[in-house]
Amino acid sequence: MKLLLNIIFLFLVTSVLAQNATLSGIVSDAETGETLISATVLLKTDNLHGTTTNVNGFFSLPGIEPVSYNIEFSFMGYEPVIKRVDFSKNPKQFIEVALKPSDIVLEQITVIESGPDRLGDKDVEISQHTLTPKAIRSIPTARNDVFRAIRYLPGVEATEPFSPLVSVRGSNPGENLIMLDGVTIYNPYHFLSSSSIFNMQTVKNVDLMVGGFGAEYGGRNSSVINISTKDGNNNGIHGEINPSTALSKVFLEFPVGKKSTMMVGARLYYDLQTNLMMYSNNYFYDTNLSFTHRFNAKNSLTLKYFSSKDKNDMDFNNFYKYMGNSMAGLMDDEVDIAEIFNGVSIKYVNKWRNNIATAIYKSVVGSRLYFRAQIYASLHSADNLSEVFFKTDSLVFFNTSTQFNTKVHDWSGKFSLNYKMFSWNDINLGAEYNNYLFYNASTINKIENISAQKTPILLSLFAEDKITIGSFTARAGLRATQFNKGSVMYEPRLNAVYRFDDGLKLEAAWGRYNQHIFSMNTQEYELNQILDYYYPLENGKPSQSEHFILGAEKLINSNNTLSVDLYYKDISRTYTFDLMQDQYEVFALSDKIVAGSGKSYGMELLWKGSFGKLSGWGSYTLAKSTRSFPNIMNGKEFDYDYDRRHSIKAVLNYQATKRISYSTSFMAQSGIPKSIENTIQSFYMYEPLTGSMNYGQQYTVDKKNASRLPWVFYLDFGLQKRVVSGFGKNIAEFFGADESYLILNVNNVLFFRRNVLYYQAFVGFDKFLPFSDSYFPTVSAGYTIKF
Amino acid sequence: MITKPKPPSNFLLVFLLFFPLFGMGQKWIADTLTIALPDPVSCFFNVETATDLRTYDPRFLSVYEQNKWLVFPVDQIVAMELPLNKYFENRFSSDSNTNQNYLVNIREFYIKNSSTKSKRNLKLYSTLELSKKQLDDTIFVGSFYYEEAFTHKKKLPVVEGYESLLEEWSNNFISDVLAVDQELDLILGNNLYHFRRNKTSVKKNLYTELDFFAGLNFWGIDGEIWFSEPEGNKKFNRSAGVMRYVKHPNFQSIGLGRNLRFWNYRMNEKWLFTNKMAFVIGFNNWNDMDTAAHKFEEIFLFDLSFTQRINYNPIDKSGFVFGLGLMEDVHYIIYHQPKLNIGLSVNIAYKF
Repeated sequence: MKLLLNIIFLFLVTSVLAQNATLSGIVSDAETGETLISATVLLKTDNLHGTTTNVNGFFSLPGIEPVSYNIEFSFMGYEPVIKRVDFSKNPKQFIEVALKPSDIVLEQITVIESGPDRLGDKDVEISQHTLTPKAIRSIPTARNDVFRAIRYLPGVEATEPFSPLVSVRGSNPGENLIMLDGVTIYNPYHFLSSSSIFNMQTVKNVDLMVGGFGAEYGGRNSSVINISTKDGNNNGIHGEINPSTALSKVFLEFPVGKKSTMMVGARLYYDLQTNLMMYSNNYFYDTNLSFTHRFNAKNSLTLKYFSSKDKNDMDFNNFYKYMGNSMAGLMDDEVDIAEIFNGVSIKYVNKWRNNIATAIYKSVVGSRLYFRAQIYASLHSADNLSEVFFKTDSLVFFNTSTQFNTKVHDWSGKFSLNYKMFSWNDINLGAEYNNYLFYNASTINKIENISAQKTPILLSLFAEDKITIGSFTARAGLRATQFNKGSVMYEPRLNAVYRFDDGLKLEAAWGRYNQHIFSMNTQEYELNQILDYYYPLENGKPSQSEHFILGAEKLINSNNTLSVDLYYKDISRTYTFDLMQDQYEVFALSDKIVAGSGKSYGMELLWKGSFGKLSGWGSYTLAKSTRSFPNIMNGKEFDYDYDRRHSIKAVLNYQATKRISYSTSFMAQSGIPKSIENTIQSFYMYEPLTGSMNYGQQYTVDKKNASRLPWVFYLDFGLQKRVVSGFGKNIAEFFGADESYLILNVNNVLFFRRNVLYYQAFVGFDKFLPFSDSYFPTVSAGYTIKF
Repeated sequence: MITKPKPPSNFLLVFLLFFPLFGMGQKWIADTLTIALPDPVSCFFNVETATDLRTYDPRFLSVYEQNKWLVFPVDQIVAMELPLNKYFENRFSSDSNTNQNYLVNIREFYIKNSSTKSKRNLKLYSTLELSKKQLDDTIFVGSFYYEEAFTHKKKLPVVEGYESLLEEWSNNFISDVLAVDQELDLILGNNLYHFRRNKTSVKKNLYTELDFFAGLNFWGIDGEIWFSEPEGNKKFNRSAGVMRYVKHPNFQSIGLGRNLRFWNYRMNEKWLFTNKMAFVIGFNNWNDMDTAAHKFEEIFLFDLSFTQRINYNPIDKSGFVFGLGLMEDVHYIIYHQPKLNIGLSVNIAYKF
């Protein structure tokens, strides 16, 4: 309370002290009405005086002599606007400026281009990337997918080829804060396409902060990924339709009256082919709704709703029957291959849902004060069953099943205040309240085991102060959290930037990060783990990391930037499950975890920009990440599971003509460490059905991640062309569409060089057998009608 | 001893292999073939003003796709030397002041290029509105719908085919206008089938159709969608995409066909006879998986069908279209004998 009074007093004092005029306002996109972040506002005087808009498109420029000025509003990719403002009669002026997008940028896919509603403060944020939907579409393998696209950014590594999970700068996948319009979302993945649940048609921007982020964001140790969706369009009906026999998409945005806009997006995937061939019923859908009402120039309310459902009922039995009968004629008569295949039964039944609802209120309270409040509910539930059964001649060789149930409910409220105390000083204050429900239960081999439900509360407060003195900008921040009524924990953060006149920028960041919610890795148990299972660390200390980052960015010319980041991440506390415990208990309780530590460090070199019609980005990363746990090799340090020493990535787009663009994505990475089994262990097993003892052999390994797989190479080509003839053009004309596109991708061009993901030892073979994720190139095509 | 090349050399090989092609492919993308216009020949009438109402570039004539270096699909644009309206005004001009003056609205005018391995098939689609100029007045005469085919060998230059087709069509247009001027359409009827006196032009139609069929031991539904240009001939072909569901006693299938063909014959203003041919590749879902030892190859269905039907389909009018017909279907499944089925077909479509 005392702190609050002091803040109010400070506001009053600075307001009284401000004798000069103040200009404030909002800068937005003239076509969509969406606010623009980091737009420049410049007084055209002899002594240039200016500022930039904040994350909500708001700016405040105090300390102006109360006379008349020409003021320029500019933003990359938009046509600048000059307005005349006279302060002599009214020293506090509020202005709304709408900038029109220029055509030049539209033909390029510059990855980190400016756009509306961005995350973080561009002035001081380090290690920040923004992917536009256009950039994501240009990546052949991304297939309009956020999580596949961000793998092409430096510092972001895929965990497994078929999994959408990513590891950022050597951290665990569960240490990424993933938000949809500021709402924390849990397991935002679709199973069937191993992709994200975000419909790219509705996405405005994808922001990623891979380290050193400010005090406004917390709860996760590694990175922040925010997907912001469109708010609607106040210039008539616009949209896209993607018809398909498998995954169909539709997106519409339109005005509702004079003050409101709306956006509707939906996708439906139905796996007709698998249903027919394997008698499996698989589908998913997701829907987005957004409604924005602007009460006046200074106040707006946005309501957003998102819902997704996955139903995956994969039964491989019929597939094995087909294969067994087909192969029967090819094999030796003594081997009844059909019987063997008929004896195999694999079944996955996965169901999960995400429902999100949020309300966001934005208000320009005064010429220097901006207020943002948000409440949301993020509800996630999953039920995953895996069964494997194998028998021949009535002898059961294998019979196992796992069923995991999980539920995460997150009801939250948060607000932030941006106050421009002086032209050189910005203050950002805020609070966040999360009321959680975590439920986890497991059934192993049809026996119900322990279930647990916990309802912790997380309270967070943050304060940031940004000071700009000449070419130097620094932001100091503090985040205080209290989890489940425990002790208050503090997370200090510091960012600093120095800009040289020749376009060189030196950056530094330091920060401490705590994470109270831990996600469990069930790969060792579950046959098809593609979800995280979340657990609150109620009794243990939060996992903790400290980021140290140094960076330099050089504007080579108006279109090209070269940057380098050096980072060191001290993971002072992280957790793993103790796999030697009773497995029935492991799945349900977070008490069965073991604390360890780790570190991660590296260098990331990034080029982004364009040369004529060629645009894109390329990066090289040198990194190392290790872990140490007392229950693994007696605490000896080992390379982390997703540690890649070298990583070269590039995405290039060549806009050959206005109708056709070619794109390519390339990735060359050193292999990840693996525990390759190299020792045979013999065992006897009692078979209760027959009362007999069976003898068996299996391979084991005594060191974790002691082997390193060979390099992997991925090269893909894509083509996007405007449809100029045939059915595609006719249907676009029929709907009055502006244009229609055909997208063609050729993936895995380097198929003849196998990317080994694992070497498996088999009893009876004297060699390790290599396994890959893709043996053949694939071709995919899509069609889009845009209006 | 055989040594395996190291990974980086493979990578370099691919780069060296693809990137030169990639770069060379680009040079051809912007290619635009230009059709030379013949020297103007004096005509017995004069197109005083031609107005191009198309949404394309005024010089646009045709576009088709071809693969450069077998890999890179590129659009090959075919354009005229002059804007299309100038072509009309130049080509159909008269030296004499006494000849009739006309105004032409060009609603549609493009050439479709569909080539086979040996032949290049060109088809000109055109919708024109003709008005007669009289002293101080303009009288609307009617609309022409052209659907004119031309085939030539592929080894001949592409441009030659386009030029020949244009010349052939323009000669036909001249004789058509003269015939219309003498009101021969009122006498000859069928010879000027593609002319609609005193009727403004119509656009191409979008058809969405459901075709139900059933026989003694099978039934199914075809979902079809296609665009149809206005009828320029009494006999005309159209093609569509089809999605077929078919149910047999021991299996059901879903298949897709890209090139469903309709051979149409206009019986009168309201009735159309159609012979439909569909080739569908689909997937089977067997009912007796537990008892019969079906093999993997039995998943696939190859289905060819013909339907002869009479449709209520008024010419140049939108709305519901329906018909009745006889269907012959032959399907083949690997390890099974081809099977012939005969059934009845009832179709209903909406013609937008």
